Amino acid sequence: MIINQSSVISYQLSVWKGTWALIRYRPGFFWLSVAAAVYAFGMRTVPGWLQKLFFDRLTGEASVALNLPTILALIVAIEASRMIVDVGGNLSAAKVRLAGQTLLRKNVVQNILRKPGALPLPISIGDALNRLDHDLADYGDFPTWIPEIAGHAAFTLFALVIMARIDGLITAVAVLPLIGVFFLNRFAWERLMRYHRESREGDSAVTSFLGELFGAIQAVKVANAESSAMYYLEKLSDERRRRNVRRGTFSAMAFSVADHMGDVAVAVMVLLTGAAMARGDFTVGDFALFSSYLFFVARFPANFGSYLSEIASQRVVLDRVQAMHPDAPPESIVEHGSIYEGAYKQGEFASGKFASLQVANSAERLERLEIKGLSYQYSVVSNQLSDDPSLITDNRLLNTGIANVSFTLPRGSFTVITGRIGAGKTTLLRVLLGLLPMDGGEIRWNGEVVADPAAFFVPPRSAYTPQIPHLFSMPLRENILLGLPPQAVDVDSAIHRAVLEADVAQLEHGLDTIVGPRGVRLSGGQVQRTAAARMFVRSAELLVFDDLSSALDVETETLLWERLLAGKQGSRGARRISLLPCSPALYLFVVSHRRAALRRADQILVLENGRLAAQGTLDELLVHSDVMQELWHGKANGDE
Amino acid sequence: MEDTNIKQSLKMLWRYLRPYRRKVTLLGLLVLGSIGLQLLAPQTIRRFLDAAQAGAEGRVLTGTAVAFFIIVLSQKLISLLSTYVGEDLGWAATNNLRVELAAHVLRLDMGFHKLRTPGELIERVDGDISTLAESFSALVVQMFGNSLLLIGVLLLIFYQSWVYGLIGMIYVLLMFGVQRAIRPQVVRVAGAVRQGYAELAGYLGERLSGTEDIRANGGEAYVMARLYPIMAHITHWRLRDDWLGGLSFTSSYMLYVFALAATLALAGNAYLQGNMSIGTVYLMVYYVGLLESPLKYIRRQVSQLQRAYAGIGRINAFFQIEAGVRETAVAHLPTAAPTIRFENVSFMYKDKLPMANSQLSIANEQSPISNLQSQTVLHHITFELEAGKTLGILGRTGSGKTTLTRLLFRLYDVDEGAIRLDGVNISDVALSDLRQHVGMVTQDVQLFAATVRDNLTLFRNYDPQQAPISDGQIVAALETLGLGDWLHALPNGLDTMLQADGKGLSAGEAQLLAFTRVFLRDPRLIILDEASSRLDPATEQLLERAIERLLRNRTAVIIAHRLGTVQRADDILILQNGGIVEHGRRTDLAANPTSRFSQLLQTGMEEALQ
Repeated sequence: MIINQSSVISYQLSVWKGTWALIRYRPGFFWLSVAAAVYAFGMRTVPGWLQKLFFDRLTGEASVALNLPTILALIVAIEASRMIVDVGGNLSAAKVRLAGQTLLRKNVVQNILRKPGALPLPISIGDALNRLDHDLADYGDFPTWIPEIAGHAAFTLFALVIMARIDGLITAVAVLPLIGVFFLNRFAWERLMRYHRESREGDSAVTSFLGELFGAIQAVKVANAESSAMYYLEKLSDERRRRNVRRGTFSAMAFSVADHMGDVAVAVMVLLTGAAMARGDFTVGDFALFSSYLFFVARFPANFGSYLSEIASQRVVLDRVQAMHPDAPPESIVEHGSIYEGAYKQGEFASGKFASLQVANSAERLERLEIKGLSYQYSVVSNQLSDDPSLITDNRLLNTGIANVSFTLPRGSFTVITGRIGAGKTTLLRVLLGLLPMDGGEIRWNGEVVADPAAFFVPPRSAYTPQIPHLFSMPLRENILLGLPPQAVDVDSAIHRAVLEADVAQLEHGLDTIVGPRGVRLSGGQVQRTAAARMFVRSAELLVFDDLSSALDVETETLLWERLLAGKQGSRGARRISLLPCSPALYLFVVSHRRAALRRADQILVLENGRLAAQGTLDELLVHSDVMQELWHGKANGDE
Repeated sequence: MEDTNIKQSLKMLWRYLRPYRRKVTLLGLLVLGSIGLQLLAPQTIRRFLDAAQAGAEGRVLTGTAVAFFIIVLSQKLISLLSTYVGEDLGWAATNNLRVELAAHVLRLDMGFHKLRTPGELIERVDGDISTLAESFSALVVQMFGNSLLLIGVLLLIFYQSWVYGLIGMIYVLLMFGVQRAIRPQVVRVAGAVRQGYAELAGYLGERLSGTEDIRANGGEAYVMARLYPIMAHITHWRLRDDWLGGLSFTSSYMLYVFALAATLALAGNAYLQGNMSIGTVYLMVYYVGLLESPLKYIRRQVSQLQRAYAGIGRINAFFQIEAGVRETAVAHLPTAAPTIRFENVSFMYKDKLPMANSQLSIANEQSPISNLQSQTVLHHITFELEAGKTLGILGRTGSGKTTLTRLLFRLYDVDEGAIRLDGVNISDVALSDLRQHVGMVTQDVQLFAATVRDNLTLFRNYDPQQAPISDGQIVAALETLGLGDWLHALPNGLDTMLQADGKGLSAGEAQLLAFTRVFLRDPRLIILDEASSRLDPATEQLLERAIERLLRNRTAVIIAHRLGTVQRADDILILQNGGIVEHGRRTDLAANPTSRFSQLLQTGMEEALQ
């Protein structure tokens, strides 16, 4: 995975710190659930005691004040009160759990969105979805183990006291093996943790592959690779089965050892009580009490042990979550903030209250943008969660960084970046916009250094159309607006500028047409122009296009350039701009090798192996730059 | 309806279990053994108590205690074994189900896929089935085993006395009655919960792949704002789910308490009247308690099953969606480069699209809300392309160029007319046969997070029914296309893992890899769809020779948006609004000044002179 090494955060969020933050997120419900569990579990000792009284009363071996109907009525009453409290406690715990899970999901998604946008997720989308679903669910659930453990501990404590008061020796000897369970459980920890991690990796491999497969459906069909892909899926699934079975069996083994110990305790008790009962020191009622308590007491070390094991699992979970956004501060995933859960009932979501964004006041007028010594190198970090050496890919070989690129863009200029494949054109745009974190250099906006390009280069300062734009499966209008209030912007002229009006008119539902996942309902050219409209509607000072016309036919492309540059008046030297009604954008910055663009450019930057090889107007460059000549004359007949 | 659902589920389960009959039998035996021992253990305790009460010797008591210990230990061991076998079976069976469902989904039309995000499909194909896999061993072992245990305990109680048996029966029946009463609610709530998760996965999947667009256009707040209602929906329904779970637990536990109290009252009375030994009183209490534990498991499994119902229903619903493109393999294609003939072909997209995006209600698979006629249609297309020739297709966006090539692959079937390759109607040919003969490179190159080798062969080497592609062939193809240096620089050669979505590769390199794929498959008919649009002229030139080699002795259709790309075409076809406006030899059309083609050339020239 590609990570900018310098910025990887090396500390972790401790399991407890995170858990404490989640507890404090819904403290009322949390403590309510703890109190309820302590009552419901702790009171569980009473019916056992009442049963003892019942047997003692029957056998007449001890004097019992209560008569039989009273004992039975008490058993029913106490159990009923326990159940009522238990339901309340469980619902409180559910509140804690669900709020925690939602908060985690909110924070992690936000972190992913905040990372430099062009840095790939370190894991595949399918895997990320798996982690956002299951790993976060696990961690959000973790605080609600506490009430259960606390309740069980309360019961165990009460039970031990009662048993010890009946017969201290038998209690001590019977409980002794249980301490062994605790240590066994600790011993199994590391293994459990490893198996857990491995089975999760197996899960991820399958979901990732399915995601890629369904994302590439047409390519797979066309390449007749459906059945081959299924064989590969079978291979991945089989590995997953192996890992899950191993984990499942091992954890069952750990649990059943614990259960054996519980039965050992009962068996020991049976052995010890024989003589005492024969002597009459130990009544049948005592026996009933001991055996009823011991089974539940015996589960405590196992329960507690698996709670401790769960802490280890949560470490894995947190690491997996952190791996989704290595640059974000680890504690940010439990940062408190509203999750708007009440709004669901009140129908506020339907009213669109949350979906509208403020239109920012126009940005400071851009006079001059200076770039000095901009550098970015793709670096390589091994996949921390995997021992597989083949996953370590040297991306320097696959992608070109940029080194020490400097240039200046004056107001109103139209600049084109060009160069061969892999020369670093797209990388340069991304680093400039903060979509990739720069390794060196500085950017000045009207002479002021831009400290955080990622936060700075957003509308209304800049807007961007990537080389392969992503649209979302929602109406065309929403894809263009991305939350801007429709009444505050001019969608129609953005569509006109993007030469999209004829296409919109052809759609049956016009702007309300849902474009399908990733915009598959639209052609490649329509997707690009929709993305262009999305950029125009944001009325930004700096417009950045990456290869806008690559999927357009000649006529559409011509129209697009005409409308785009309609504001530029006079000759190339004049650099005067008239404000367009739709967008006051003053800066155009395009990567292209298209002649139509190169011919219109005020200045051209030629990149070669990540460095600025030449700079100037087309005429100058055609004389002085070999690369430019090659690019211009590359094809015998030209492409336009 | 629920019963048919159960039947359906069992039928489905059995279909995937059948190949593992032996393991199923073994599992059954293990479960039976474990139950027998569980029933036996309390009997030993009764003997112990009665003996102790009668003042028996320590040796007898010790012997009974040891027997109890051994019985319990063997029971645990057997139950551990059955967990292993059950887990293994569960994963094996559901893996097969998953592969079959994935294969089915892959076969479905593009129209289906246009409606669903990959994230949603993952949730449907993997999420629903994994719920089954995880609950399977529990489901079969616990459900089946505990039902038997329940029956066994009831029989033993009846054997003791019908009165206690009756109490036990009433207890069990009431408990099942309560479960039955709340089941419809549980199923409905579980369906809403799963729908919420599917929606969440679909939503996030799309947004996570578009972070660059979102980030640079200030869309973060909007993405978050749309996420809250989906998460709130999940919370809302999961709380109801928990409430129902609590209700079910509480009511059945209270039933147990009543049954226990009744048993204690009756047995106590019988003891006082001298009709029952104290050991038997204890045994009765023990057995009523023993009834509670299988019932607890069954109840838990039933609710798990109810959750799985929602999943099974959704899985079945997917299986019932049929591909619009039908397989009728009655003819075979010849192996040489074919002649293509379109005979009066008409086509219109019949994909259905929902109007509203919110699918928070449980959506019906078969009836999306509105029927959107796609903009692109083809009317009465007739033309022929000779074997070994190259056709260049021109036309504006939306004129039907891409649609035409999709028909050639039978991603959709024609409404009218026929497409023939060497006279064979392609709708009479098996899809796999057809697609083996046709290769395509589009500008959207799909790469997998897999090795370079698997990406280039598209996993063919895992398929035992197909001839594997050797590394030598792959290396040769890469070198032919000028990727030799790129390959040698890879740290693990062909075993190097590529990243999902081709991240880490430039668009040009990805494109070259796509060419390599087609080279390796060696089809007789090639379709290039705007294939070179992302390449700079210098790299494009590198590709030219390779394309030339690829097109040699093959029939080819090239879709191009730029005139330069069609210079190599023998014939030219210009489409407009789904109809042919011009078709002929490129040289003829170029020579005719009134042709649309030469006008287009003219536009291009003017452009070049500007």
